[in-house]
Amino acid sequence: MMKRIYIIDDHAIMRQSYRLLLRRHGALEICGEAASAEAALIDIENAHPDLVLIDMSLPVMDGLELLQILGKRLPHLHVLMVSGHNDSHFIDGILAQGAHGYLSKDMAPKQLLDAIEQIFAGHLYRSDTIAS
Amino acid sequence: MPKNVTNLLLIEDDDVDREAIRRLLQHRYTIVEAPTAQVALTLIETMRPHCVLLDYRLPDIDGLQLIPKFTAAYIPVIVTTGEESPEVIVDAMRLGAQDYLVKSALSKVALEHAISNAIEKIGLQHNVMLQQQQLQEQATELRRRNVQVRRLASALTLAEQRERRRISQILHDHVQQMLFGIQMRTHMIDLDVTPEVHAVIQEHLASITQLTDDAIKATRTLTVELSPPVLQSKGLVEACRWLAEQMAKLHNIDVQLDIQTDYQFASEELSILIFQFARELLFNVVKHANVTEAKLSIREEGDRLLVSIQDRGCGFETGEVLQRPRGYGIHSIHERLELFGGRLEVESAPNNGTCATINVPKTLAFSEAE
Repeated sequence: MMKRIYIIDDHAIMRQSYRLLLRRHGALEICGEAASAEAALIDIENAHPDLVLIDMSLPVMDGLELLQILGKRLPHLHVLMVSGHNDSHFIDGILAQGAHGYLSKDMAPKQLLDAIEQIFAGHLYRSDTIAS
Repeated sequence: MPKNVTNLLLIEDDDVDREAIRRLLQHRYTIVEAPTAQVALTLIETMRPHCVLLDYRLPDIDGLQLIPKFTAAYIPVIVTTGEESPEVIVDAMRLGAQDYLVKSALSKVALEHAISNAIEKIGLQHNVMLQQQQLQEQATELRRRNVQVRRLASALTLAEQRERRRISQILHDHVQQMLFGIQMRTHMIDLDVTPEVHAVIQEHLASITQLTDDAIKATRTLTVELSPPVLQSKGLVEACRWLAEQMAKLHNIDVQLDIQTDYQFASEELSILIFQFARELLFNVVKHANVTEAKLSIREEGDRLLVSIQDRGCGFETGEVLQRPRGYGIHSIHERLELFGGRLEVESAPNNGTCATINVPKTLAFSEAE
C-alpha cells in the first residue's frame, strides 16, 4: 500500500524538490503540502498522512512547536524534521520531543528516501553534518 | 565726556569730609557726590561709576548695606572709616569691599592708589567670573555632545547588528534555499540520464554538486558568523551553550559551562553583540592562552548580567595589553560595551590565567527605546 507523505516547508523551491524526489519512489505518494505550520494545521488531518516532513524554521510558529502540537493531535503520525541550519546539536532534543528522524537539508537529495524508509521500518533516523 | 575719564561716586554725609576728598581727587576724576544712601541709590540707576568711595556711617541707612549692590554689578567699593574699628573693616571686606581707608590718614597718593587697585581687582574678578561662566557653558555643551555621540554610537552598533541579522536571514531564507534546490535538481539529473549520456556529463555533474555543496557550506558559515540562528530563536544563554559546542568541535577546546541564569535581553541586537564578544574572547583563549580548556559562565548580579570567560593559560600583563589600542581586541570590546553602560573587566597575570568578564546592565543606559 502507498504511504502518504505531507510536506511543510515555507520555500516553494524546496517543496517542489521534495515532490520531484518522492515521486521517484514507487511506494510513496504526496497527500498534501503547506507553506506554514498554521496552514498545515488546517488540513493535515483531512489529508490522512502516514508521515509528515517538517522544516524546522517556519515563518511564525516554528517546526518544533508544530511537532509538539501534532504529537498530541496525531500520535501515530511519523515525523521527519528537516533543517537548513546545522541544528545537529538539537537532534537528541528533537527526537525526545517525538520526531522519528532528523535530516540536514543538504543531505536531502541523497538521504531523504532512505530516511523515510528507515522511519517506516521503525527506526529513528539522524543525519549529522558538521557545518564549519 | 572724554574717553579715559574715571567716574567716582562719593557717598559721604559729612560736608567737610566730602569737600576734603573732592579736593584731593577732582584734578583726575569726575566725581558725583551723594550725601545719603537714598541719593546714592538713585544715582546707581543713572550713572555707572568706575569706583565708589563709601562712608559707612550714613544718616538714613547703614552704609555697609550698600556694598553688595555695587559689587554685584562689579563696581568696586572703597570704604572710608572715621576711626579704626576692626569689626567694621572685617564686615565691609566680607560684604565685598575692595579696600578701606582711614579718613584721618587720607592722602592723594593713598586714594589714587586705592582707586586704581580696586578698579583693576574688580576688573580681574569680572573676567574670572566671565571665564568661569564660559567654561561652565562649554562643559555643559561638552556633556551634551558626549551624550549625543554615545547615543549615536550605540545606535550605530545596534544598527550594525540589525544589518548583520538581516543579511544572515537573506542568506538562509533565499540563497541557501536556492542552493538546496540546485543540489536537488543536480541529483535528479544524475539519476535520470541514461548511462551513455551519463559518461559524457558525469564530470560536470560532479563539479556542480561539489560547487553547490561548497556554496551551501559557505552560506551556512556566513549565516552563523553574522548572526547565529540559535541566538535568534533561543536567546543569549542557549547561544552560549551552542558556542561552547562549536568551540569544542572546531577548535578542540573544552569549554566548561557554568550558567546560573536564563536571562534574555529585550534587544536582540544587544544579545548578538554580547554573543560576539564572548566568541571573540573565547577565540583569544584559543589563539593566545595555550590551553585546551576554558570556562564560560553567565550569572546575574543585581541589575547586571555578567558573562565570564576564564582560562588557566599563560596570561599576560593586563596593563600592557589594555594600553595597546588593538591589543587582543579587548580595547575595542571595552569601548563598545561602554556605549551601553557596560564594561569589560580583565584579570590576568603571566602564567596565571585570564578571566575576562563582560559586565552589562540588564536595563540599558542607551537603549533603542530612547
